[in-house]
Amino acid sequence: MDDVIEPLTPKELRKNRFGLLLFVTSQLVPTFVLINVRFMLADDDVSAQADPLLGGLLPVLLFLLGAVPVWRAVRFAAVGSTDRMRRQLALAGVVGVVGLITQIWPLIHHRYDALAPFGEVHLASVGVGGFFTLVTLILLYSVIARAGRGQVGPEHYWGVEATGFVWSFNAVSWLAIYIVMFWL
Amino acid sequence: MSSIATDLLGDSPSQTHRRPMLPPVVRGLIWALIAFLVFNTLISEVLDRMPYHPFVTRASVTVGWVAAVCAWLLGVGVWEGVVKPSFGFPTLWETPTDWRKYFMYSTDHRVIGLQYIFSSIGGFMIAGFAAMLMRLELMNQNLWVFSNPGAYLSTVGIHGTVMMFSVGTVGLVGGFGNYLIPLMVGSNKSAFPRMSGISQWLVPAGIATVVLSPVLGQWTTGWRGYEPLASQDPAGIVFYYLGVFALTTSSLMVAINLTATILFKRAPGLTWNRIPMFAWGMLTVSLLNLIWLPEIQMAFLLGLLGAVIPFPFFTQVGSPLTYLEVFWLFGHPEVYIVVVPAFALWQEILPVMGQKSLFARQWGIIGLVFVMILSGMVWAHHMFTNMSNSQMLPFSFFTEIISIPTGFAYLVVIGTLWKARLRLTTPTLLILMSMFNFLIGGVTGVLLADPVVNLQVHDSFFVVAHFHYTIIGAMIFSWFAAFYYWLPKFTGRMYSERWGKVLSVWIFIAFNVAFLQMFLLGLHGMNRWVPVYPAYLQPMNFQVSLFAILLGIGFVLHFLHIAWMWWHGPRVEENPWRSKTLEWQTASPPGEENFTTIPTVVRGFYDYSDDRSAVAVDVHSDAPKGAR
Repeated sequence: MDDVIEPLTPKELRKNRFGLLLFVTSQLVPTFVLINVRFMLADDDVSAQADPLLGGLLPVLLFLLGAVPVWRAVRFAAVGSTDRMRRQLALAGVVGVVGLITQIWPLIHHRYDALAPFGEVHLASVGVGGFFTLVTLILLYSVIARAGRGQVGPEHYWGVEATGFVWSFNAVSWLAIYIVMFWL
Repeated sequence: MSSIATDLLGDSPSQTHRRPMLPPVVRGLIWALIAFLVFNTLISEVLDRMPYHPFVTRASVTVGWVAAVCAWLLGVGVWEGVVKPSFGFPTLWETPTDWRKYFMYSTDHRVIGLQYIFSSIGGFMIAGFAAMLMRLELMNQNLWVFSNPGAYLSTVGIHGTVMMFSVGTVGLVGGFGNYLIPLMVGSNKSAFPRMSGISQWLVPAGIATVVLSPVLGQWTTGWRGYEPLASQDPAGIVFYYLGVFALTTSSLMVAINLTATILFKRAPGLTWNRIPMFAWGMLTVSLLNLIWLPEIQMAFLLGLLGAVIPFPFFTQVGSPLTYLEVFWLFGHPEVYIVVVPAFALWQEILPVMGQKSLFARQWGIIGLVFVMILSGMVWAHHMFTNMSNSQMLPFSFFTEIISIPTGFAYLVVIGTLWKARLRLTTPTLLILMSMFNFLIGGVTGVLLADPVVNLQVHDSFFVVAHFHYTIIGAMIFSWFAAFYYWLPKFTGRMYSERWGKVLSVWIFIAFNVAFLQMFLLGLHGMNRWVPVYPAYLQPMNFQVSLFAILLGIGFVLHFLHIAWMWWHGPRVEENPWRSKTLEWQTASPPGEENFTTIPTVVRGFYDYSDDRSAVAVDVHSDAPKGAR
C-alpha cells in the first residue's frame, strides 16, 4: 500500500476549516429550532419524573470531558507523536460511547409520559443529540482507523483537527439543550 | 465496470487489480433493495411487531428507507470513493471516459453538474406530468380523472414537492452552479469534490421517494405539509418528509461546496470586486440554504416523529400553529433560494448579449444581498389569516420593502440595456420574458403583502397564479435561458435560433394565457386544493387547462430541441457570445482540465467599453475540441 500522503497547503487547510465551520454553523440551526419548539410546545415545564442525569447532565459532563483527549490528540498529531495521539483518540472513543449510552438512555427507559409536552420534546432532543453524537463517533473511529494505517502525520492531521471541532460542537450543543430542557 | 485500488487522495494508484463489477446504478438499486428488506423486516417482524403484523409499518418503512438510501449511495460508488478511503483502506474508483461516467459517483464537477441537470430535468418532467393530470381533472367541474379527492391532492403534493425541491432549488444551483462555478472562478476543481459527488445521488433518491409516496397511502396537505392535517393523513406523508430530507441534504452539501469554491478556489487577480454575477447569485443562495435547509429538516423531522411514533407535537392537543411557523420560516426564504439565481442570471447574460458594460454592478450585488437578508423577515405573510393586526404589520412592511432590492436587479438590467446593441438571441428573449413574467408575479406579491387584499384572496387561485408567475416566470424561463446560453460551452455545438425563438414564444404565450386567467379565477372565488368547484368557474378552468397543456408540450419540445442540439447541432467556436467571463476563455467543451494554465485576472468581466480581455494569460486548453 502506498503510505505517501500529500501534505495540505495552508490555503487548503483554511478551506477545509472554513467548510467545516459552514457545516457546523448550519447544524446550529436545528439546535436553535429545538430550543424554540421546547418553549412553544412545553413552555418551561420540566416533568418531575424526568431523570436529570441520564439524557441530561451525565452526557454533558462526558462530552465536555471527552474534548480534552481529543484536543490533546490534535497536539500530539501536530508534533508527530502518533502513538500518544492514538491513545488519546481511543480514550475519547470510550468516553464518547459511554456518553452516547447515557444520552439516549431515555429512549429505552423513561418514567415521564412520552406523549406529554415535556416528554415528547425531551425524547426528540435526545434522539437528535444521539444522532449527532453517533456521527461524531463515526468520524472519530475513521480517524483512528486511518491513524492505525499510518495515514495521519504531522503534515496531514486535518482529520484529527476536524474531529476536535465536531466533538466540541456536539458537546456545546448538547450542553445548550440540557440547560434549556432542565434549567430555563 | 471495474474497481481498482488507489490511495487516500484518489491519486495515481501504486498497484492495480481489476475485478468485474455491476454498473454502479444497478449495484446501488440492488443494495438499496436488500437494505430496505433487511431493515424493514427487522423492525416490522422483530423489534416492533404490530397487531396483525403488517410487513410494512410507518416505523419500519422509515428505518428501511434510511438504510436503502445509504445503501444506494454506497452502491453508486460512495463505498469505494469515500467510505473505504475514510477508514484507511485504499481503493480505486475507475471512471470511464464515455457516457457511463454520468451513471456513477464522480468527483469531476462538470460530470456532477450535468448529473444534477439531468436529475432536475427528470424531476421537472415527472412533476410536470403530475401538473398535466391536475389540469386535466380541473377541466371538468366534477371528479372525472381521479377516483377520489385524496388521489388528486396526493398528485398536487407530488407536483409541488418535486418542483420546489428538485427543480427550483436544484436546477440552477446544483446543475449549472456545480458545472460553471469552478470554471467562472478559474479553478480546475471544486472545493470538496467528494462531498459534491455524494450530493448528486441524493436527488434521484429524493424524487423517487416522493413519487412513490402513494404506495404508502394518500397525503392531502400539498407541498406545505400543514398540521394538524398531516397528522391525520394516511402513511403517504412519511415519504413526503423523507424525500424532502434527501433533497434538502443534497442542496445543503452543494451550498457548502459552492461557497468554499467561490471563496478559496479563485484564480489570482479575481478579487471580491471581480466575482462574476452568477457566482454572487450562487453565494447568496448558498448562504440562504445553509441557514434555512437545516431548519426545515428539523421541522420535518418533528413532523415525521408526529407521523411515526406518533408524537402529538402539532395535533389539536399540541400546537398546530407551531408547525406553520417553523415551516414558513423556511418556506419564504425557499422561494428566494429559487429566484435569486434568476436575478443573477439576468445580470450575467444581458451585458454579454448587449456587449455593453453591466450598469451599476455593485447595486446589483447589493440587491442580491439585501433580498437574501430580507427574505428571512417576511415569512408570516403566509399566515395573515391566523394573526392579529399588530402582528401582521411588521411582516407586511418587510414584504413591501423587499420589492426594493428586487427592483435593483431590474434597474441594473435597464441601465445595461440602455443604448446597447442587444442581440436578440434565444437566451436574450428568454431573459426578457423572465423579467416580464416576474414583474407580474412581483407586483401581485406587493398586492398580497397588503393584509386587506391578502385576507380576501388567501388560499385562492390568485395566490397560485402569483407564485407560478414568480417561480416559472423567473426561474424556469431563466433556466431555459441558461440552457441555451451555456450549452455551447457544455457541448461545443449551437442550437437552432429559429426553433429556440419559436418555442420560447410558444411557452411565453401559453404560460401567460394560462396563468393570467388564474388571477381571475382566484378573484372569482376558486379555492386551492379542490378537484371540484362550482359550475360558473368551469369555462375559465377549461381554458386554463388547455393552455397549461400547451405549455407542457412547449417545455417538452424545448428539451427535445436541446437534446437534438447536444448531439447534432452545428459545431461552434469556443466563445460564440464574445463573453469576457472566465468559463468562455477555455475550450468548449472544456478538456481534461478546465485550464492547463490557471489564468490571472487583470480586470473586471463586465467592462465592454473596449475589447481587452479580462485575463492576462492565454488559458486555452490543449485538449482537442469535443474531448471531455
